[in-house]
Amino acid sequence: MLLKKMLRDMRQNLSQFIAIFLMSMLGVMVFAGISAEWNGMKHERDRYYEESRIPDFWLLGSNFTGEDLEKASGIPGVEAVSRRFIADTVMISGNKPVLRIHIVEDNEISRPFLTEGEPFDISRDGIWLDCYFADAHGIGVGDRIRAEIGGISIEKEVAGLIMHPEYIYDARDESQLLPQPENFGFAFMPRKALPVAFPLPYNQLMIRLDSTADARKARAELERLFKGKYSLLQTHDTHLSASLIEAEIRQNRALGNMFPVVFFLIAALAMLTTMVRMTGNQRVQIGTLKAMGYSRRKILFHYVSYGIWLGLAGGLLGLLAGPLIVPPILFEMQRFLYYLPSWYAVLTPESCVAVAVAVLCCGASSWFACRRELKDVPAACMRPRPPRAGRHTRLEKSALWHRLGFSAQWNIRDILRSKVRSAMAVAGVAGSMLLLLCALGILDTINGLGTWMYRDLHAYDCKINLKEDIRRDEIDALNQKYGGQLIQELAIEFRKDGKGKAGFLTVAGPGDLLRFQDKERNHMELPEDGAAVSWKIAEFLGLEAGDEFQWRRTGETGWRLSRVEAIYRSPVGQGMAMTADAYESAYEAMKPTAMLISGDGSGAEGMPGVKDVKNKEEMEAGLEKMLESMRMLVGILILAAVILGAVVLYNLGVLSFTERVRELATLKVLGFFPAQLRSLLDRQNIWLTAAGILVGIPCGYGLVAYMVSTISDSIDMMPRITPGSLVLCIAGTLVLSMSVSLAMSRKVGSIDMVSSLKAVE
Amino acid sequence: MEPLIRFQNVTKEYVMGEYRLRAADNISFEIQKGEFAVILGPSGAGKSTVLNLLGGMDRVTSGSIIVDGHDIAMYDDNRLTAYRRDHVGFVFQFYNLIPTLTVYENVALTAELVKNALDAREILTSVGMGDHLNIFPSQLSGGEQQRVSIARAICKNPTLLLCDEPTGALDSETGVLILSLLQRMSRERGHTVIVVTHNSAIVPAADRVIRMRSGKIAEEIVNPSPAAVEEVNW
Repeated sequence: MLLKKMLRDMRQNLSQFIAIFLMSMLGVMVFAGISAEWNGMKHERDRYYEESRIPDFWLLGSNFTGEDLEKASGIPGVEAVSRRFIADTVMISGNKPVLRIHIVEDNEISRPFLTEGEPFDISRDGIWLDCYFADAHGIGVGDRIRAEIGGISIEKEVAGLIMHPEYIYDARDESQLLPQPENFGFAFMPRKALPVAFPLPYNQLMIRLDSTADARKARAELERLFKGKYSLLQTHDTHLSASLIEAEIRQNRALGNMFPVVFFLIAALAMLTTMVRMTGNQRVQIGTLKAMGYSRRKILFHYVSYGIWLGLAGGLLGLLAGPLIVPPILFEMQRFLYYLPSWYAVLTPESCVAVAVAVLCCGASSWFACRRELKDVPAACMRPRPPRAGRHTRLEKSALWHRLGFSAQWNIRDILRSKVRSAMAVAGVAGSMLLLLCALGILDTINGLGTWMYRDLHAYDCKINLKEDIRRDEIDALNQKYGGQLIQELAIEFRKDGKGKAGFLTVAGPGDLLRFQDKERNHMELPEDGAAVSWKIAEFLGLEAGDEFQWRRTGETGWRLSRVEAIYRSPVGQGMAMTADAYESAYEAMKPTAMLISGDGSGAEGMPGVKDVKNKEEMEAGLEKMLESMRMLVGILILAAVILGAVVLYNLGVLSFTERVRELATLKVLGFFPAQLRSLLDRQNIWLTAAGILVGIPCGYGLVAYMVSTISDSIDMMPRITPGSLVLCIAGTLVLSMSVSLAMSRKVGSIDMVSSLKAVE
Repeated sequence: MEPLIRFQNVTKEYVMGEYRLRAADNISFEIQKGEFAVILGPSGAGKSTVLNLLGGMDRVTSGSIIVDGHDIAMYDDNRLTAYRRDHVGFVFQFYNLIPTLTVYENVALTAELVKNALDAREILTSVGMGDHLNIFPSQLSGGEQQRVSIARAICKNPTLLLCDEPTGALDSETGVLILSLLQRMSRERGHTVIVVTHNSAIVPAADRVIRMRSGKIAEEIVNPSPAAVEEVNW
């Protein structure tokens, strides 16, 4: 019978119980959905790694011999060792994209994954090409492509299209924000496809450990054995693709843990208010049940079961819907960034814990709500609870009070009298403000990144990349024609107190097309002497101005010592920067790798010594794509904000309205016009909304900062919310709050004075 | 014969902030098994307090209440709940039916509680509500609701049937019908029925009348040959 009572009670308060149901459903849905998403990605990545036998270490050197292979296989725990030649080449066609060629001796480890054509076979002639790259350039199986390797031009037939576990994130280096298959791709070739006489040093050694090996020991052993023979040792923590996908999985996990908390909190709050009101209204019923001999425990359980059933129903539906709905949406975005052979959701037992959390939230808050009504002896329960006494506040003693007018006085007392309700209204508004700000803040931040990078720091229009062997007179010729700024960019490694990090060195020649900003983002000049270090690197290595650190060019053996003279901020390409003068006085003559120019540089294409010409629009296109992929996420956040705000405010509106219906009826009897009562109610709403917005702004900013900080080590992003977005968020929140309050205050007209004032039974 | 109920020097004080209200002041009385007893008195005389104490809905400040040989004043909350469940049936002034349950379900709700419950349908028929099993309380008149409420109390087959102003919210004609129903329950089924009221017209129909004033017993009348409720001049 009590079950029937519950179902009918729920039907009578349908909108509120639906709201609670929705919130617990959304909470579990988001958690289970995101969890299924990242677990799916992780599962697929692990499977992919295992199937293709990805190495644990990559050693970059100049020439690894057969002896080296044997040395490496002798290390305890090593399962397999392999070597290959790896080099960035230019494909001779169209926009001259960079093609990273891997020429392998065997196919034991780090195997390509075939998508089309013939399986990779080390005894077959041909080239196996990155399938995304092939797609972007309209290349199919059987076509012939031409590339230059070490100055020698070769032409091969495409034997198959492939994906590769080392290129899940298919980008050339860290400065590339997005994979851009039109500009960069990779290819695999068997050594046998090239003539034996072809000059080809194996410059990469790959080591795969077995599952029981001690990675730390193996690494130390590797470092000892190959001391001086390698320039860079990469692990999964430093490998571009491996580290980025790992970071992505971690970031999704963090988000998936954070967002449901908001929904569960709202579910709990909504449950609390609804149950407080309901048990308050059913006070006499509770007394009657007690008089009939129902024990306290039974009655308590009856009311707690409202929460438990709702939490359970919502949770189970969310558990079902989450993994079905959320992963496909997120995968749609991930596909832009990461290339995995297949995408699927994996449901984990953890998601069931989320259902338990939903049940617990709803159950606990209904327990909390009805505890109060159950404390009294049954005889007291039978009488209506005496109305809460209005208290005089300190404010009322001040001179200001009397100038406030009736409606302000009434509202202040009302807010103070029902602090919990008011606090919840503020929290609800703040929550939706937070989500809106977060949504627009993410867009702003990425937009800001573009402005920062392409307007503030890179003042050039065009970058002419120079060949390595360019001659002085060729540079002079270019300089005469374009008059740009020469720069040298090279890959380096940092070392400080045993910590290492890969980065870039930028040597800036005279000119102002490449600019720098200090930690507060004010314009700064590079120090005349010594090096400036980028903020992310300084953070990572714990460097401050005046500290010394070691670095070396990738491929060198000896370390150089430098002092941090200044710290600058840069969104991508973390490393160090020096002026040409400082570099030349400390080390050697600058060897320019690129010339930055303003205006159109397409005429430089084909001039002697010029590798290629990149204009800024091309580089900015990548950012545009990234923004595109964020729009979905932003849309979801906005939707969540609106649902959240509407649910909380509507619930509270109903609650405060029913609580005050007698007061309002009295005022109506006294001769207040409905319009006056409406404005009375609206005014309180505006106050609470304003308070919520004020609380929401710093929280929103904090959330954006948190999300940005989880993105990556190598990208320095500034959390940013433009005034325009702020105004938009405030306006959106106000509109939401006002429309809910309008819907509520229309009920004022329908207050029946007579029945509202009849004796409480 | 040992009386079913014996109040011994029962005092109940309500502490309201600064001052204490003595709702029952050193009260002693007895009620025999099977009696149709009336507790009479003006508002504020402490009638309801006595009924609440007897029904285990409130705790005494001092004194003892012996029901069927047990002192319920010594009971803790759990035993009081069990006492209410197994021995007491309540009828309230405002019926207090659960609005979201039908007539039948309201009665069945209490029947679920006890082992030897009577059949809900049968009881409802005997109070004249057999044709209204599946409608909700709000669709019934006051008198009808009170009949359901009585059926609900009786269906537990309680030792005591306690009625707090059962006719207070009803017109006098309906009130007579309700009281006669209660009297009939006492006579035919042997229930001990205790009715609290301020209407002294009922006096001739009661086996025992306890008249209260300002928390004390003013008069106690035992009526050897009570009249039927319908015969009393209202």
